[in-house]
Amino acid sequence: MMHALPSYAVWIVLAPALAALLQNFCGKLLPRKGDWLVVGGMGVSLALSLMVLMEWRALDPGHYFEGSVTWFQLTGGISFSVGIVIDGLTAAMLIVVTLVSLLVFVFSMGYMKGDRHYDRFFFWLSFFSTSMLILVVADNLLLLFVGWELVGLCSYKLIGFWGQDLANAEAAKKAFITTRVGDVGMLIGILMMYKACGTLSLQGVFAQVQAGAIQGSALTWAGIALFLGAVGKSAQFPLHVWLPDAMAGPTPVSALIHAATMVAAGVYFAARMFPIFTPQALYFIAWTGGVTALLAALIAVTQTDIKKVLAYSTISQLGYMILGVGVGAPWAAMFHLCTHAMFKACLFLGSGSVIHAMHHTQELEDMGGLRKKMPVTFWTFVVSTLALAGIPLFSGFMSKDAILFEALHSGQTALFAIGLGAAFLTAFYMTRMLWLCFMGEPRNREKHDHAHESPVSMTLPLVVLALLSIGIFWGGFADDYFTTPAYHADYPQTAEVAAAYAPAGEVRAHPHHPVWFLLLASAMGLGGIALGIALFRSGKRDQDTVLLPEGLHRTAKNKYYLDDLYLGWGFVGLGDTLSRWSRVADDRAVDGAVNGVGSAGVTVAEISGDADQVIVDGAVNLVADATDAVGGVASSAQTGRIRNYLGAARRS
Amino acid sequence: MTAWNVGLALPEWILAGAGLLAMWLDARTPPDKKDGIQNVAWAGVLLATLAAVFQGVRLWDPGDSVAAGGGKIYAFRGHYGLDAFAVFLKVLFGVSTLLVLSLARSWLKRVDRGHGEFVMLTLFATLGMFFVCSVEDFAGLFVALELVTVSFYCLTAFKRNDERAVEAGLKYVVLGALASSFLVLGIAFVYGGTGSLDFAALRSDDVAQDLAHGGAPLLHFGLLLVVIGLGFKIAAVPFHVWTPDVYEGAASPVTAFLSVGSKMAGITLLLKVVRACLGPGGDAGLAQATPWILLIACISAATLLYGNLGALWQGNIKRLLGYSSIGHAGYVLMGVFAFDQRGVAAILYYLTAYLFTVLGIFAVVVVVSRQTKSHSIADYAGLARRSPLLAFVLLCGLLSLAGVPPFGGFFGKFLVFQAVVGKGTPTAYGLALVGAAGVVISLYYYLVIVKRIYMEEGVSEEPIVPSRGMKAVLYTCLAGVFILGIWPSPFLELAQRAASALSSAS
Repeated sequence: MMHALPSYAVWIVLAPALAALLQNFCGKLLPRKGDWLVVGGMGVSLALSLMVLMEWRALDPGHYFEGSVTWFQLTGGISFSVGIVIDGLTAAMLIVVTLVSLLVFVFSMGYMKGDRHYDRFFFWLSFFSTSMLILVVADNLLLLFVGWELVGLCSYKLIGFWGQDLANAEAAKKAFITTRVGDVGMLIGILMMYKACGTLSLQGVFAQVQAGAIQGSALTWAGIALFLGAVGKSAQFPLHVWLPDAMAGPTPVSALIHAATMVAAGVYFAARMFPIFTPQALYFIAWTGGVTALLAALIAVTQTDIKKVLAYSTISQLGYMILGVGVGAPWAAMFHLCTHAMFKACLFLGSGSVIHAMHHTQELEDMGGLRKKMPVTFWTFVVSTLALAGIPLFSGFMSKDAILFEALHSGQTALFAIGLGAAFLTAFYMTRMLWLCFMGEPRNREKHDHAHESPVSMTLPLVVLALLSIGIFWGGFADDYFTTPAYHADYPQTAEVAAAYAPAGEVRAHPHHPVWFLLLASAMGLGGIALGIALFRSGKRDQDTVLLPEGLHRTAKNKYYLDDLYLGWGFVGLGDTLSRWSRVADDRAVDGAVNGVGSAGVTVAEISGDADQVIVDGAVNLVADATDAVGGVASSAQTGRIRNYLGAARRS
Repeated sequence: MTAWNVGLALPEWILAGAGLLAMWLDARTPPDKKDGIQNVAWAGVLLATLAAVFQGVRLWDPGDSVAAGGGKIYAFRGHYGLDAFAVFLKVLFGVSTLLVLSLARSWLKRVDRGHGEFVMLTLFATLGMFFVCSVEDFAGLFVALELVTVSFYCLTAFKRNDERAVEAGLKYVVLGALASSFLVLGIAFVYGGTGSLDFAALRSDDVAQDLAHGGAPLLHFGLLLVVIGLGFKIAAVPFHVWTPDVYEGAASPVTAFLSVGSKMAGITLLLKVVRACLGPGGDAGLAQATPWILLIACISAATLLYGNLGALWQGNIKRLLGYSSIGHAGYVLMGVFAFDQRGVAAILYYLTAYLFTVLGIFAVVVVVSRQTKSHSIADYAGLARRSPLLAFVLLCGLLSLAGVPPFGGFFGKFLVFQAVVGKGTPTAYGLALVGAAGVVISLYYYLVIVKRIYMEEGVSEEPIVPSRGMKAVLYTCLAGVFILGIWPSPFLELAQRAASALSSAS
């Protein structure tokens, strides 16, 4: 059922948008360059999101808010709208986006202090969050796509914010282009849906799909094309290559873009479009997610840069979420998205705090023993690590558990096994990083001596996020929210999906996972941590290869050579070659043609030159002679005396 | 159809008058007072555009007798027709000429002689473009197109002391003449096939049947030659070879005019010819003519790939824009492929967005090259610090070309892709995929420039200050790019009306 949108809901998007505009135009004149405007705008947005969530929860199951105005019309009376839809999915996502954005903005006030382009940074941050909000609340695919692209554009500007460094500029470009590869797939998917359904409004598309306007393999292909957008944005294999490089941006940007919002957009989108996926498409999605979760976790084990470890960890966790969508449990995916957003943002900001203290060193090589120097950062880091590792009582356990259980429940045992393996690796690499960073003896004495705890504007968000990573804050909420029929009602399923996977109601039927399952899942997390501590207690780093065989370790460390494939001789190399050919061809063709015409002209001229001498000259001379003769006669008449002419005129 | 009705061509009369007046004034004024000629030209184009707008208002008034009678009025005994489609494009041509003249103003200050000629040639080229919108037969098509093209030959070689400009002019003449001969030969064959030069003759049922079912080989051959001839004008692969050299060699305002005006003229004629060939059946016609639709799809795909790949490693911004303009011809051809009301409306919207985008970019190129004396992309490094306005216009322009929202180019691409995917055939999906690949590739080379202007340190920090007139052009283009990207509705409606006028033309 549809309800009229509460009138304040538009300000969820407009508040940060106006703040961004004001700050952009007047930022230089305002005290503190207007950062408070941006923070305030996001604060308003968060407050309104909470209000809208409360109102939505007061509705009956399956109800949602919608409001829209016409944007433009195409021939045939099909109109496209600018509109907002707020259902359970949106409401949850709004809280995540606004809360994490707000905390990141506050954190940035400390982290970016003194930067030359402090004001511009805040503008782009705010614009970024606005775009993300547009994407989240959009009630039609076109507006969603616009928000989607704007997110990509902002991420480009933010990742390349310190673009004087060539690597950052390259990373920004790579992120924009790689995600855009997925985006064009998504655009084609959108257009396929439009062709079949005659509308792009989400509710309209779902209704048409339910009614069978598009089905069978056409729907599968359209679903996969749409999902490609999520593959790019959520950094799924094989388009994940941009995310680790994108760590080049300022750390708050990494936290915002690559932990909580931008990459979450892909998962959100996959969950949003769940009603149109056929079982075949879901199978594709589930395997994409599973493979990504495992492969990225393997790479994370081999990395030595603190932010790179986190980056691969993010990719791996996103894989889990996509896996959750693929096994027919988008609610579990969204649950993991929410919990992950909190603890991963905490980890990123924590790493930012460390990097800040260590004067922009990111290498684990140089760290160690920071526990005493930075107690707040350390303890928040521990909490969020435990959450990420999936230890009972922490939020990550609950959500990861839900996804794994759904994978098992859907009967895809192989995917379940992959998920378990990745869970083990996750616990292991996080312990490894925590140990190398905070425990043991300092490996770089000089930097260690200069290290200090970060200011309150940086530690406060850490504490908030760490608290939100503890399970108790999610307990009641999650059970109530993510697994209730109310939430399920947002997910009409195609008949095939309902038949192939657990129907929505059935999940409700056994909400408590069996004990053996809980034990197995906890064992994975605890086992990974135990192994990590056992290996790294000595503080040495050369234990990396113990876990992975040498060959696999090397391959994973080199990221499966995908970058080389893409950049070296793959697509870019191919493009380069073709491009060179085309230039050579053009140069030859145009110069050849012009020169050809030129030399042809010369030849013709030579021939005609010969001809001229004989024929034309002869003719001309003849004419000249004749004229001469006539002229002689005439000139005798041309006396120059006017009266003779007049006389001649009179005579004639 | 038999009336002379000469008053209908008011915009053209104004342009012709302004051109002659400019010529006359040029002979009468001393060299240091030539600015007045530019004002005359500006006023002339403005008047002509306004006249076209008023004609449009009358045409679009649903209560008007003309709109009721099929929406098309004829003049010159049926050789000249005016409908919403023609008016829409005339206004586009008028606006682009106004912007180009404003662009050229500061550039002309540095040119010691020939102001009058430049203005006059621009006016005559515009006159040709206006005629292009209204021609109703192949003879008119040829004359109007040659008026445009010949003016451009001279404009290209305008900097006659510049070796490269002269070389470019020569190349353009030679290859353009080749194209024209294809065109003329094609027209002759078409005449042989139908016994008439009128577009209307193509519209008869017999011809439509022939085209759909492969009869009348001579007619087919003739139309193929006509398409080749027009392909040269819009720089479609494989008839694009002149483009990079001419774009690079010509003066920047001329290149800007060339990439907008000349290309749009070719597209206008292509649309008119294709429409004529579809017969009274209208939109469904092209879907039946399988070989033709395949041919257009192939040309479009080749153009998309070639243009975008060719642009990849260019170091000269004008050359890069040349290749990119080839790529954009490919997107327009995608719209031709999906020839129906949606496809034509998409093309018209695409061209509108393209006009503002490209002219904005060229305005930046003119201003920057004036200071740096260079068209090398490397010299754009650090532009954001030298002039935030120029950098921002360039950023928006390039992203609009790449089809990123919220810029006008996004909607152009969206509409074109929508029209193509709407066809739903395997060929359509294939073409859409090629287009998608083009979008990704193009983003790469546009970002190369963006990276330079925003992220790299330049050799010089000296600010670049655009003149007041230039600022006006820059802001106009910026506004156009943004409005077309955020509030498409009014322009889309106009484009759709124009497209439906073309479809219903009888």
